[in-house]
Amino acid sequence: MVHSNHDYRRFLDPRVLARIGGLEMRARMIVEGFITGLHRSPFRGFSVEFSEHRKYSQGDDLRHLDWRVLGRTDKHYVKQYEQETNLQLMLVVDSSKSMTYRSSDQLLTKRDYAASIAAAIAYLALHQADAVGLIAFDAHIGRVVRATNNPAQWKTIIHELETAPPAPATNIRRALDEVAEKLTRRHVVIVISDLFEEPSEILAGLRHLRHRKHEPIVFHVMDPAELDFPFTQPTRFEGLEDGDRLLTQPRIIRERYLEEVQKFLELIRRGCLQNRTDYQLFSTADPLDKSLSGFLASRSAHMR
Amino acid sequence: MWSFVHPGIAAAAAGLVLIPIAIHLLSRRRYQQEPWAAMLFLHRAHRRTRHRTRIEQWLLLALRTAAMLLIALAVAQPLIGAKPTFGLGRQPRTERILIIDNSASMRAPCDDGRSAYDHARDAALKLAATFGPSDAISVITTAWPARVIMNNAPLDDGAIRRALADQPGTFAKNDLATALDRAREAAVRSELPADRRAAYLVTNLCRSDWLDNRAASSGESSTQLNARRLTEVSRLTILEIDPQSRDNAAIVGLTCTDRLVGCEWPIALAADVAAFTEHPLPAAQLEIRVDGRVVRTLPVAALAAGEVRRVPFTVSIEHPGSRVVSVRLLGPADALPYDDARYLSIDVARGMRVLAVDGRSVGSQGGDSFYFARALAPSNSGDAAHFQVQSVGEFELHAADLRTTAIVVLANVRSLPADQWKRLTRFVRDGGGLFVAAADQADPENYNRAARELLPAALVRIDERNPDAPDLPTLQIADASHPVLADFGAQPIGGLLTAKFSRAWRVEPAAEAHVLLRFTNGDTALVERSVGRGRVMLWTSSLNMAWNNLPARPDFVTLMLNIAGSLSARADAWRNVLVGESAVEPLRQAARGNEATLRTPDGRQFTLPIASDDGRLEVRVPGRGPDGSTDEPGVYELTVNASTAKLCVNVSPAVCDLRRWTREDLRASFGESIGWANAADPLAAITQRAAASAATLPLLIVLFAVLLIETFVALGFGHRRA
Repeated sequence: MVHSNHDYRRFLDPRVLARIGGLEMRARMIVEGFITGLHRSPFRGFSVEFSEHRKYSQGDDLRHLDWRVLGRTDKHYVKQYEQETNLQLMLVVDSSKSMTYRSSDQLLTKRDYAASIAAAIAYLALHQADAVGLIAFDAHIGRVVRATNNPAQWKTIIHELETAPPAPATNIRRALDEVAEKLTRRHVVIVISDLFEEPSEILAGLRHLRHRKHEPIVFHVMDPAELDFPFTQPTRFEGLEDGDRLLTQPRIIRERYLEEVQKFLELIRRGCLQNRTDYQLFSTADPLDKSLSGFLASRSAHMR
Repeated sequence: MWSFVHPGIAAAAAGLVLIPIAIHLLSRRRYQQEPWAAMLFLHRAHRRTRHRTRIEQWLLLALRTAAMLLIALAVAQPLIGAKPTFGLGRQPRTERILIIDNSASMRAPCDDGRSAYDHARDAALKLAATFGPSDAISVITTAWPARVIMNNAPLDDGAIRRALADQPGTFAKNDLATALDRAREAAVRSELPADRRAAYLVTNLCRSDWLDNRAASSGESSTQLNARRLTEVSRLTILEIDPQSRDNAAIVGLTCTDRLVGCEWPIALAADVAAFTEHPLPAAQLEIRVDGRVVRTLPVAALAAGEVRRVPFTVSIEHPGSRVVSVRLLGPADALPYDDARYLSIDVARGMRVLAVDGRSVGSQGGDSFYFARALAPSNSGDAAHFQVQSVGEFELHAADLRTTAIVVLANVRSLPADQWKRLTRFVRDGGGLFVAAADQADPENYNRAARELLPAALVRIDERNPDAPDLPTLQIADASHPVLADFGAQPIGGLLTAKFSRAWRVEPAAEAHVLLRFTNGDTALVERSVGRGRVMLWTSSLNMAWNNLPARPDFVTLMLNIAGSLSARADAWRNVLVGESAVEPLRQAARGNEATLRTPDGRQFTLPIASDDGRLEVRVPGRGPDGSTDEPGVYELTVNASTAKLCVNVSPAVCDLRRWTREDLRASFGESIGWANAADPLAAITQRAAASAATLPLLIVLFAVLLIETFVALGFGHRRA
């Protein structure tokens, strides 16, 4: 199937994907759209599916430059490998009730978005023969789907993502601690969550993972409304997890709210950086290939 | 210290301040619900903004409440210099003067069927209800005569209500000029400053009330002048009742045009029909009655708008006595029914007794009174003559019965004893007529003793000329308007001014005497003096042909009849009055010790006392009062000693014109010095006060400033005004 440059992006738009029923189909669409895009992107060389030469681009690792081609043709091509991987990938997905939030402008809840990311990454990773597992968590971790590169694993992950019940509370720190203790082998741990907890606690959990030789990657999922706080009318906000309520004038507190959010994001971002943890912030309005790009960038770094 | 033009509205509008508070409270109940995940940040933001939010909300609430309060104040129109009136304090004492128009024109019905006066009373009471408890109230009614029925009294709604209830609508004319003057006096008496004096005139603003009696010098009527003077010491606001002009037709006059009214000949009368309308008055009929019996009906052709037409007619009355001729206008209904009829009391005489005291040759043709007697009672008239002349000698006077005599004539009488002069003086004071013709026999010393009290002039000397001289004095009219001479016109053709006078007494008229005829040499020929109820005339020449040739002239008869008619003092002169005027009925001495009974047009009977004034008896029917007054148009019957006189009371023509003075007229005359309000909303009267506008303007400026601040504050706080 031939797609135009814009056609493949269509499959990565959350508003389009939201209309596609079933997480499995949605994940396939994400990955295929993403891969189609790679043909036209500088990231193409990172895919095991496309072990070929391509023109050197600025920023490519010189170790991958094909010196023989350079000698023969005096052209710079980057050499691609059929990757043989030993990557153990664990998707740690937040299944708390706060992830069920969806603002009125959006079609996907944070949970839907997170599940789509997780499914797409799993699909891609399994196609690269990486071992993929899944842990859904709330206040504790739930059932652990151990990482394996068995192609049937994807179905298991999809099922688990679709059926994990939303829990009324979250404790990321505890969940990460449990993950760190649970995983005995070294894993790339992709934490997909809205991270609504004290940054210090989150960062402590991530440090625990790092301490156990895992390589944590944080995909921070937030709704655009949580980032922009677009409300104007008097509103009673009702907490999704603890039933807490707050009646306020959004236009009065918006500025302070945004400051708090930015402060939180900055603490998380800086903490992740200090902890050498990849951090990616997602708005549920963002195209979903952003997550795959982030994943591949991390994987590439891991392979190095 | 503020009070309010609309204290009631102020109290109600004060509720406006609750609106922002209510909106604030309601807004706390009206919100949208949003399930929310990021409560962590929300709580932190809320904690940080909680105090600021509270301050902002309170500040905005205060500003919006202040704006509402200012709007309420502006609507209520505060008055600077007065304290609040709705329970927030006491109002400063203000001199309030209510001037209520209760003249007859206010009886005209309004569109709702109630009279303008009923509306005026309602408006006055409604207005009085807005007055402060410390105010002083004066209430003045304008019906003639204007009366002060409450004077600087403390405010008492009940008292005002009772006072107005005791003032029914009247049939009297408007005495607005006097009422305004009384109001000015009340204002000046007040020790309060001018800005705390307020006069309110509740009226239907008839044009005639304001424009009649204009002074030639200023062009202003007395009403306008007094209104202007009132505005100099007090605010004056007019509450206009029933502002539309209403067409009205009326009979504004009914007069007897004959000098002598008797059974012997038809009596000439005239009715004046007026169209006080903006449009032509269609043809109508005039119904004429004598003593209530219809005697004829006359057509009245259509009248132009504003036209007054005299309709002459005659009636014949067979029997002497006090009679009533009435006319009634039959035609389309108009605004005032009571002025469509008019009444005239006439005293129809027959055989009025004249006692001629002759100085000589009684009964002979050469007698001094011969021509006079023939002029009054032609020899062939017999008992049917209007005058019955009895000639007697001067020594027979003391035996004559003056009680039945209307006129005494002294024709060249030499002299009279003092007692007879006194008797004649009493006779005249009681209403009798005395005609004195002084000729050659008159003793000036005897006459002049009496002249001080009775005669209009003192005899000085006889001015004698040659009867054959060509330049003998003739007569010239000194007062052509006098009834004695009114028939002759400027150039009488009957010889009055061509008769020759060879001799005449030169006289010195008394100060109160009135010269009617003079000789061409300037000397007095006929002079008159009123004494008591009667009159005395002095003819300075002979009544026969001895000193002049006037008896040979046709005008002699007319002159003598007119003199006799003028001296006979018809009794009906006292019996025709306007509503509110006193009627005085002279009585003869025989009435002494009796009572008079008055029967009013509506059948009520009252007993009136007979008073004695310097020996003269009379009964007075008061103009205003609770019992037996002339406060109602119609025929009153006054009975004394089984003799009944009929009094006729009519409305003043001034009350018949319901055409209005407009607001533009008022403004053209007074500028803005007089406030104006519709009586349907009397409270608006107070809005005329300059003080109100003076207070309202800064209030509106403050309101604008508050709204501006609120806008900027709201924008600064990021509030979008709901």
